[in-house]
Amino acid sequence: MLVLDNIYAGYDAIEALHGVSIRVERGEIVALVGPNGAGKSSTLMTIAGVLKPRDGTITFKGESIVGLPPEDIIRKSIALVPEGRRILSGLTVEENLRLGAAIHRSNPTQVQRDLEEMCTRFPILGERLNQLGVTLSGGEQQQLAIARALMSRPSLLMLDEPSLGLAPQLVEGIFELVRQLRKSGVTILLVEQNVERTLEIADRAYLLSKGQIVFEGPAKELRQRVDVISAYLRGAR
Amino acid sequence: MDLNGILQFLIYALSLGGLYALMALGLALIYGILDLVNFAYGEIVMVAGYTMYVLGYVLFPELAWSVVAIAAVVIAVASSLLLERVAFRPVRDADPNTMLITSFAVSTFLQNSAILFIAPRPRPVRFPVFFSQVVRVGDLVVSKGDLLSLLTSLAMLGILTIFMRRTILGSALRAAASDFTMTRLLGIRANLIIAIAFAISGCLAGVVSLFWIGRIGTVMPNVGLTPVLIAFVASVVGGLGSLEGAVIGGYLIGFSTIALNIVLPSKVLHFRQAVLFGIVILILLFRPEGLTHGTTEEKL
Repeated sequence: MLVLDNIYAGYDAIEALHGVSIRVERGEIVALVGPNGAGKSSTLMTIAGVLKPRDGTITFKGESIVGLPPEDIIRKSIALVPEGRRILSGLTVEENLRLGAAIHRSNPTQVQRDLEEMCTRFPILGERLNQLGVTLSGGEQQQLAIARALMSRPSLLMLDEPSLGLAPQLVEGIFELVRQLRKSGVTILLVEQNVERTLEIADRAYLLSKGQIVFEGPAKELRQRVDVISAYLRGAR
Repeated sequence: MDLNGILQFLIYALSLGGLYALMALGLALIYGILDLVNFAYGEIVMVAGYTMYVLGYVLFPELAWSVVAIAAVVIAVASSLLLERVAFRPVRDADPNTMLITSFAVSTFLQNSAILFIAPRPRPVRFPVFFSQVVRVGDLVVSKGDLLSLLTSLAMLGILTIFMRRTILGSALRAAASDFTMTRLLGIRANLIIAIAFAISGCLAGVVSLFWIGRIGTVMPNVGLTPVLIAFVASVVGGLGSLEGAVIGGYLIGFSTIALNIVLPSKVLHFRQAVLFGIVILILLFRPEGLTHGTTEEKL
């Protein structure tokens, strides 16, 4: 469904990705793990159109999407839940959600239905619709960020470190949510530092280090490769 | 101070404060979204002023003032959009310093164009007689011009608030001021948001021009300097990057100016600006992020 081929990308003088190739098939949960600064976020930002690659191709459902701006990428039904959630300050929970469906704003009945569905799926959000998004707790904000991305009805959902900064029981909830999303037909590309839980729910995994893929294969396999894990993910659980 | 005096003060303060609030908002809108202090904003005020001069004084002196006023605002909006398209869009992805220098360059260019093509000396602008007519309510004496300024600024702020809070595009604008990249990630087109921001900014500059130049009575090439300066100071005091802050800052400076007019002994009245800036410095010493925690502490 999504194919990155030999992507080179970076920020000004600093190159973050040196020939990254990744594949995500429909219905999969693909994990992208690696130490800090490996280029995981850069990979997602490149797919999302925020970072323009210097070289390489990106195809989605057979169509080239490399170089497209973020406004077009989301219209291809690829949604990003960015690192740090990036809840829009000054806007209520409801406004954040409605903006998530901005590309469907010509269909207000559908947006309304989706909004109600999000409130059912994430009851906390339903309770706090008129509250400012930034006043929510960390775990609630993460739900809001994911719900906002889902409002665009993506076929590919990319999550950048959704468990970051969350208490352990909330982390469970996130991973459970990811599982459920896959069940409902959303393909998932998951970037995480929490390697253990991520590899438990993923189908396939990529290990990224210093802008290059150093391992790719079934998640089960990476889990067993303690040597690889300890070499690259020292200290990561 | 008696009730009459207080009411008089309030009306003047709200009238001037409203004007300053509109000025500040026009600047804050662009800054919030693009991180650009648009110094050419003052020149939009100037362009609107010259429109009133050329249209209402030179070409069609018989034309109703309301028509001239509307034309001035329309020209202001068009100029602002043109400015964005021609001067700022090409450098949008460049260093923020490049954008800043560009805005200075445009400002200088426009001012000098006015000097070259119209006149270096002040030119009169026709204002309707009713501006200086007064309304009497009991002991209260208020000029209709001040009243109109007060009501117009409140109306514009009201309309903008409704737009920002009750429409998707308005939410998108607020979102862009908070996190432009995230807003684009949600599919809101950057060009659309920026164009709307410049259009609103231009409209505000146009309205400001009507009343600001109305107070002076003449238009000159550097007439935009004071408004943009006030707008900038008001935004900083209120919290750079915050739209509400800009409005609060504007009203605060307006109120302070009128208060100083009344409070300062006549000998030192011409030091009013100095005292005003002194107050601003004090506020910033104790609260550098501005009164409403503007979003950009570092960028100052």
